[in-house]
Amino acid sequence: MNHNDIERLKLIDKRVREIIKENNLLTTETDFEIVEPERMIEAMAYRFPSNFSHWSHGRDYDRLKTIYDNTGSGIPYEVVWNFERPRAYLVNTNPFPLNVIILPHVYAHVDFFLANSFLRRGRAVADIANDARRARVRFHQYEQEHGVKVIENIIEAARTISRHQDLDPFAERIDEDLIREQLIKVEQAKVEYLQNLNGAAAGGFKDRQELEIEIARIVYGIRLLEKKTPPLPDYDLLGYIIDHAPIAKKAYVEDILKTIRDQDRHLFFNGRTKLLNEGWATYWHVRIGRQLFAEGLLTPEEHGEFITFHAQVINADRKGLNWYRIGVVLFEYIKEKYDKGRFGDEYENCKDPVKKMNWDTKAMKGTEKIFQVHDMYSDAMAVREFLTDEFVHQEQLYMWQEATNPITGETENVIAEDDPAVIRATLCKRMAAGGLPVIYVDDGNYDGRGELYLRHDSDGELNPEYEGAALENLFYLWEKPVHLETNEVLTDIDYSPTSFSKRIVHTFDGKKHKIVDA
Amino acid sequence: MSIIIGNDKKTGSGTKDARRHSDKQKELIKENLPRVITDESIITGNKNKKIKIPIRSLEIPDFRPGVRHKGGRGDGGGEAGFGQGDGKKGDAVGKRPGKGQKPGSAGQEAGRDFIDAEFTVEELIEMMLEDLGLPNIKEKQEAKNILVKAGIKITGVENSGPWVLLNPSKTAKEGIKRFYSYLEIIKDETKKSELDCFAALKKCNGYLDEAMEAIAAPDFSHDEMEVVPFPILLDDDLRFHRLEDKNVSKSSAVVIGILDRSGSMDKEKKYLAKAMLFWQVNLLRKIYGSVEIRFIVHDEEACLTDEENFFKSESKGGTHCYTGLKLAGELIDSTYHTDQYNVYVMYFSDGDDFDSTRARTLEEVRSLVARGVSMIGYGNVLPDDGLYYESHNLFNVFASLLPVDHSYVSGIELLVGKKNFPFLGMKLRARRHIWPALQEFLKQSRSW
Repeated sequence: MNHNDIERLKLIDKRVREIIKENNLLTTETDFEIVEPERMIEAMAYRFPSNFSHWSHGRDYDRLKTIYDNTGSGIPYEVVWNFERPRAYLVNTNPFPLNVIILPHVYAHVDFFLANSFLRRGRAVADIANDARRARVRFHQYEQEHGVKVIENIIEAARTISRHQDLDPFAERIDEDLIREQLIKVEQAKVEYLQNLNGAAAGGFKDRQELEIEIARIVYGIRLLEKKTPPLPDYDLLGYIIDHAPIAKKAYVEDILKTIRDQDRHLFFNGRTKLLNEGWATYWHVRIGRQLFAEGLLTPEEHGEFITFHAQVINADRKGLNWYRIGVVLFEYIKEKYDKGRFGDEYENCKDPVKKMNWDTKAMKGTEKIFQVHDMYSDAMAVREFLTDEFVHQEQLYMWQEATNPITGETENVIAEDDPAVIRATLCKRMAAGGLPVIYVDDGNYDGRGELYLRHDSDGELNPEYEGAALENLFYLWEKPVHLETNEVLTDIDYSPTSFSKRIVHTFDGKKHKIVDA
Repeated sequence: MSIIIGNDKKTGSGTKDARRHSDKQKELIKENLPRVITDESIITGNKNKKIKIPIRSLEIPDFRPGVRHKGGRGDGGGEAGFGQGDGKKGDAVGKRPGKGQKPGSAGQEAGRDFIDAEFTVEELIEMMLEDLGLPNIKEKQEAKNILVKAGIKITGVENSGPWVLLNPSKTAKEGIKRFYSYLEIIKDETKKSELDCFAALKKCNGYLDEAMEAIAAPDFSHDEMEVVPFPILLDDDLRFHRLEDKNVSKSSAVVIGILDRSGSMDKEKKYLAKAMLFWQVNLLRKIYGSVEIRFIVHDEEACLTDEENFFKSESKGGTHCYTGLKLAGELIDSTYHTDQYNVYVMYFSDGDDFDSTRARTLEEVRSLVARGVSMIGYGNVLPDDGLYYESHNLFNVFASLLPVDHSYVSGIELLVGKKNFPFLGMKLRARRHIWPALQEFLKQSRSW
């Protein structure tokens, strides 16, 4: 971009901000930086403008750079971070009309950061931008003191489990002694109640003996609870390691683990709102772009290019879901639905398709509703509520599966499912845990030997190749044998009519792997 | 709110960490070297071209959904995902891009990120050496340094010699020294001025005695204006160039590859020989400044051939192993004297020697040792299916009749010659044996 372009962009920026405010979108101080493609690639690879050194960042940098060098594409036009003071990068090779799209797009993202309850929480995790920048310097120092290899290993091991977080993203980590105390209090209250019963019959017990057995059972339970760690299943795997692993007593290890935990907790919220966030930004950039053209700030040619870029951005994907498209169409759909009053029992229960098609009560609740969605919803919530049968049909969503063509012998992607209910449920499930299997620490003192016992209770199998190496990394942090209880689908031989899978325990003791039936 | 032009200072961290990543990949390749080095594309390919080795992009392992048993009940079969567009159940919406299905790899590698890392043979060799803990083989290797006459050279100065070798500048320097010393003597003796002394010396053509007499004469006079030194030469002052024969020490080696091309040598046996020889030659290239390779093939007779025909040569019936070894000996005598070359004889055969000529084979081996070769390597290329003539196999004959130790190292059978008997026999049953065999080859090549 030359000097004139930048001056013009600043002028348009001024008007865009006015329009943003006129539409009641929230704004805050936001920095736009026009950067070289390499800088953008770096920002992508390191996840933040600056972050600590690690081979995995180098791998991503190398991969993106290779693609960019060979194809001239593969990097985003913009990126904007949900920081206390949001920061956006625009690539200096973007044509002018593209940067014009990007301005309202970024402002809408910033509004989403400020308004959406999930992203507000994500921003509050830590001063993430500065922490990442400072971590770079600190980790480098650790490398000098303890060796590159050691620091690399700690980072890798932490990243192995850092996305397994508390199921309630809003929960703060509570000291486990406090939890235990509370649980014991409840149990003690039960004992007290039973001891003060006016006769066994008052508590519904057959006789005195049965009552005493019950009291003894609870007392025994309290004794177990006193020693149990964690007192309740702990899904925050890295959090548990930080609190309990001896290795985390070393200040530098603790620092590395905490930094990575914070970064992933911050990013967790981005992952939960990607569909809505991109949909929202796209929804506004196309509207504001149109208005800029109407006001004469864009030439017809530039507007034409603008429209072309927009069309590329929302192009339907045969082999995946383009969040930009699904997101923007979803907002348009919600707006129309609520503008025309197509909600409530009367509408839902109406059996006449023609009447339904022409349904319009002039409710004009659309804008209010989409703002409500953007304030309160996560992707999973929005999918559950608004990815209706109608929407799935309208957008022609499906699930495909690889299959061998019996004639050509080629592997093809074949539409395997188009039932809206299945699509909705599958998508929700994937979004709920970010596609991760749900795993928790069941016992941090397994068998009284301080070993770590994890459980994977949700459906499905784990990828065995990664599972083994992941357990090795976990062992690196825990320094004692680690166990993982998971599912294995029964083979034809031991197939039983009542169950599809069995429970197995995979153990790594620092030297070898062992998998046995649970 | 502001739009600013980002400063163009690149942090460089991307490039730096990319190097960390590629170093890690290199480690991964090293672990896979035993498999990589027998890859046909390396052995048969163009030597200078970069070798592409597909390696999995490094990933941080985690707990992710997957399938424990491929093709099992839990395997939905290949990749799956969401999509959008026209079509009904059962319609194909695209094809999997890329290569066709290979048995055993169907569906399993799909979606996994493979990248081609590029290496030259040189880089692979370096990795092999690092892996063997011999990073600086050149220094450690006591390669035979051979002196080669390369004419004569001037190495210094001496006080006598033929006039043609007179060193004018050194001689003139001596002459000037003498001039000044004579000048001092005359000054001391006569207490005359320096200019007077110089004039006397000049008049008498540098003869000291005459100059003293001349200056002492009462009628001594001169018209010299200043002291201009000139060389005064006596025999002692002559300096001559010293000459010496010029010898350069050169470390060079020759590898004489011998291949049994008799009827029993099939394609896989030849491939084992080829792969082994390829790496031996390339490893020796790291050790020696220059390595020549000569190729001999034999069946009932032996002949010299070139590299291309060496491996292509067709089977011609019977086997007289001694013929190949004998021709190698003759080649050493005629061209590659062991006082000028480090000679490596590498013989590959399936060991199916004629009973009647076995004694001659042993004799030829001993005669090669007697010639002073650096090593006789014997690769017994005999895949598992050739067990039935094991007992009189050449490997076992060598084991019992040569001064060697028979041992098993890293899964291969070895014959290591005793002191002053540089013989290394290796049983190469499969491609996986090439790597340990090469390790032994490197180790043993330094022990005699």
